[in-house]
Amino acid sequence: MRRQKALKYMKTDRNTVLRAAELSKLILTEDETEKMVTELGKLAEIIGNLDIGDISETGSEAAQPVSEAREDEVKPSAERDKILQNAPEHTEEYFCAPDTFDKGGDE
Amino acid sequence: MKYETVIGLEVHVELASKSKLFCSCTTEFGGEPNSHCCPVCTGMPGTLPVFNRKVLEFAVKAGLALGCDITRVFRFDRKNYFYPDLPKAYQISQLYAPVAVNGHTEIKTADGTVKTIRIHEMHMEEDAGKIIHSPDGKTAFLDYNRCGVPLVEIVTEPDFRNAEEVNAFLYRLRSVFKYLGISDCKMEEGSMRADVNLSVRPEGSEEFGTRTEMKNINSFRAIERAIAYESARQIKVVENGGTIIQETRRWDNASGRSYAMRSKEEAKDYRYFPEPDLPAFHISDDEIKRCKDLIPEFAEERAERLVREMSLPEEDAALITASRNLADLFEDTVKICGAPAEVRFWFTGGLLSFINETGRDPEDIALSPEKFAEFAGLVVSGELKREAGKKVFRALLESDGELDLRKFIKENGLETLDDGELIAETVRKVIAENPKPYEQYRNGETKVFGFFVGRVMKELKGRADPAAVNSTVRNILGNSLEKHL
Amino acid sequence: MTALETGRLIRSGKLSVTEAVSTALEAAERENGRINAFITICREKALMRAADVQKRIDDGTLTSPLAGVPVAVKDNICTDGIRTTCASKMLENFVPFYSASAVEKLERAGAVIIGKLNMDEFAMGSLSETSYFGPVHNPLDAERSAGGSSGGCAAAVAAGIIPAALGSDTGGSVRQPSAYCGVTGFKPTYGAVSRYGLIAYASSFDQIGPVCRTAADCAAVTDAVCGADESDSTSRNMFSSSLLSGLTGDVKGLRIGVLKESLDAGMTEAGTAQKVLEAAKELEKAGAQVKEVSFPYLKQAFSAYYTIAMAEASSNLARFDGIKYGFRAENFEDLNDLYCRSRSEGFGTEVKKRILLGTTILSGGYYDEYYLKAMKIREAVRRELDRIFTGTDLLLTPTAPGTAPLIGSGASDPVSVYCSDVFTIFANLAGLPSVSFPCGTDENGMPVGAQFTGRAADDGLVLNAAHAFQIRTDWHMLGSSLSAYRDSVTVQSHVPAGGKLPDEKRTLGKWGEESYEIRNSDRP
Repeated sequence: MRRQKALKYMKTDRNTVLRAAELSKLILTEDETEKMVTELGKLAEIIGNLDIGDISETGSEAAQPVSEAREDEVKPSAERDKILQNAPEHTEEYFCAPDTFDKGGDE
Repeated sequence: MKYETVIGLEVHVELASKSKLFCSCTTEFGGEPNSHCCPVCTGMPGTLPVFNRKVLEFAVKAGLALGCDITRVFRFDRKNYFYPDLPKAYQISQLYAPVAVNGHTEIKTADGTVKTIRIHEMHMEEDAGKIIHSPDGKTAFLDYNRCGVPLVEIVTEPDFRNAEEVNAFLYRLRSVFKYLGISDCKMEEGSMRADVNLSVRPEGSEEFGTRTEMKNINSFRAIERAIAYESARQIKVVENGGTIIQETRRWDNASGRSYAMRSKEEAKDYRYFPEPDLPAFHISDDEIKRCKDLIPEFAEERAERLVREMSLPEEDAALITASRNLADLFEDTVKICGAPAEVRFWFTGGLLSFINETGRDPEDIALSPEKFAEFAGLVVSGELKREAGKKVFRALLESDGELDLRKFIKENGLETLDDGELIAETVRKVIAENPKPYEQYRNGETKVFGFFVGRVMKELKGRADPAAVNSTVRNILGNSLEKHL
Repeated sequence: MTALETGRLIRSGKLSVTEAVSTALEAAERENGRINAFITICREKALMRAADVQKRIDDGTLTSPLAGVPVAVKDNICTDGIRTTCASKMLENFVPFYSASAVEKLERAGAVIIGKLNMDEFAMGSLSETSYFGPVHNPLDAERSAGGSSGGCAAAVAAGIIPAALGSDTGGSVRQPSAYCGVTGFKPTYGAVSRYGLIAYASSFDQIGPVCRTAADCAAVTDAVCGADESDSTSRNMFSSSLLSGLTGDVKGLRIGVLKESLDAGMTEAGTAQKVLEAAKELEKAGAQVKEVSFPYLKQAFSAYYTIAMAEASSNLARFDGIKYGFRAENFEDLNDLYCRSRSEGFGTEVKKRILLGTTILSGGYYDEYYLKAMKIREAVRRELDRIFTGTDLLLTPTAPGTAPLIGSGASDPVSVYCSDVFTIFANLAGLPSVSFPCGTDENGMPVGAQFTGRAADDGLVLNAAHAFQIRTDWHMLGSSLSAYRDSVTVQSHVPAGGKLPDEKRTLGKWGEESYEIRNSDRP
């Protein structure tokens, strides 16, 4: 049986943590960043145990027949008041967010 | 140095299912903001997507029509990014096993050149919501009605070299999708949207240049302008010794320019992974065959056949086949009444000008082939003259095909006139009422002959046989001439 | 008193629904200061519903074994009109306008929800210590953890407040706290119970399951909530007959495989291993065939589980962005800042940690190395278990390597906390049914849990084995003296002819506000 090549361990340096934070929209304090580097290191060690060794290659999962999917039927939508009721900021019609995304500028 | 422009397309088309891709809300365009929404399409916690199988049927048909291989076991993947129009902060799309791959379709440009465009893949995904900007630019108002409307994205290979080819492809795509009845492909309403990937390279070069992606192009005309602009911009950069930056640019139709979207590098990492809330789906041979059987002959092929089989002029054939509904109406009517020339006459003259004048959607024309054939039959048999028929046909169209033809003809006195004496009487009356032209005729100006015929036809509401009117006018005018001599 | 006994008393008219519900409410209010099992208690709603359910029992339209039984639901399961917090500041004020399909079904069976149960924040944890509302205390020893993430479920049942709770099990979250609190917790086959309305942690593992005192109660609750649901495409009709009716207690010829690796000294505390072996012997006496089996991939399974779970979690929790619902930070500069601040202030440390790790796992450089490999291991584990299940009908393991630790131990050694899931996660990885049931106590008198895991859709077999053990032993009655019903049970033996209870026993207790919030003073 064929052995898998050894895994390269996930890098859990500051950059990895900061990049992940940027992607997942989280701000970390300096203290938290340090802590996360350590904690992620420990976790990466646990999940680094991913050598599948002599477990043989795998097949694909069972697929569901498309015929079991939903029919194309319209059902009533929810009341708008309810859709909006938990929003931190909303009007009678819309959810609201600060409008700061890109509108172009640099040619 | 001469440069060549290399273009690839990513075309998003909204599919015309009644309900959304993963929930039962309506896909209807418009509506009060956030009124076509439910916990699923607004991404409420704990909710799950459930796949609408009609969308698969549409996608498979589209894939087959574009010559693609259909993926037998397909699944959905999550594309993760934060944006206010994306309530779950991920879009359910397809990356690893798209529904259709490796297709191709032929386009014909104005000079008649035929070119094959390769389709890299086509995948299904959900549409995002709409953002309405407040006038002060501070607040984004979010409307999630469009969230979850099904889309297919068609990704072509970089096979286009100019805007004309791009538009020929988009017209072809629109025609095919409309024929399949799977989308209305309205660029202006956003149900068909094209992103243009464009690069330039010295003519003759085999290597691709760095490409940019242009978004927000909303019409065929804008595509031409955007391609011209971006191609010129890139050539200028290269000629000035600069380098093209791989970036996403936003087309601004008002200023006629594209702008680099200020996006952080993070936007590139979408962290795709298989959507765990949906199973993998298996498409059976039967299902593919069923879709195959439902694929119609498309506009261009159909037009060619009409030219071949019915000797229609190419121009008429193109007009007739532009809409599947109209083309079906034409062919079915001919089948029933067996008079292609007569049907074509009423079709191109009457029906198409009616559509042009009223701005009706060709797909909404409800006239049945049976009714149309009944009408054409009346004309062919001579019961109704073409001239009188125009009034009847117009009324027929205005009634949405509901008109009782015989009753209308009778009530309006439009039956064909066999009464030779009445025709003669009318001719004499017209001559008497128009002494001046008569005088001209007598002086040898025979061109006024047509004037008399026209007047007589009008007097008789077009009911008379034009040949009979012709000869009667000729006889009476001739006789009176002899008398004078 | 068990859920089925409570149901029987109610149907026979010896106990009114209102009586049962208000007794539970009083117990919840009384006990919560000590164990912190509830985040929300909905007194008024529960009492109104109790009256309605009583009417339908009286007119004969409601005959289910759970009719009138007071229950509570883990706070990551949506309840229409009752706030659903996931034990997070992020959803502190979130009130859904829809119920989870399982909740709808449970209510259709006549159960009365008295409140929402504490848990680890977004079910991320194994000690119910990451809750924004403070940790859950073990009713058997308030210094100790109730386990997690469904710690509130196990504690509330163990304290006798309610006979049944609905929890969720992603990597052992129903079973491990059940083991720590000495009650029975069941994770059905993946897909047996709809996940619609369960706020997702890791979608491909999450499964709603009951926590009760007995396996029979677990069967009754699962019967009520299982079945294909058109709102969850991963749900199925799995059982041809009721699980409860299949509980014969007969285990003759049943092949039980004791998982060798799970009893290794390096893996499991000696006392725990001993009790599990004794449980095996008990069933052997009842006619089961017990043998040792080997499953060498526990560690790989464990790694694959965490890789996939965190990847899915990082995506599932992205929707909490401060726009549509949930916490929004007050001071922000722009949209990006709004996202970042709301999420950073709204989520606790453990949640952020898992989001960060999951994000890294899915990002460009690591997807193939980690996520894809984990998926392959998952498939390999499935196959290996399939192979094991050709020679054995059930796997027996400890539920956890040890008994309930002291509160606060999680913070000092996070890795050992993850490791407490080592015997539970393979059932989630392969989607198998698995039950934890009490089988003894350790030297401190804390309960030890044993766990049966079976083939997919063999839920009946799994529950029947635990049931067989429970009709021969009484470890599941451990701590039942804590029961809120101990008075009612005495009363019920003096019920006058006609089934009427003395009037003072029928008073509703004091009416509280719509929903009674418990805020722990030491919350973050």
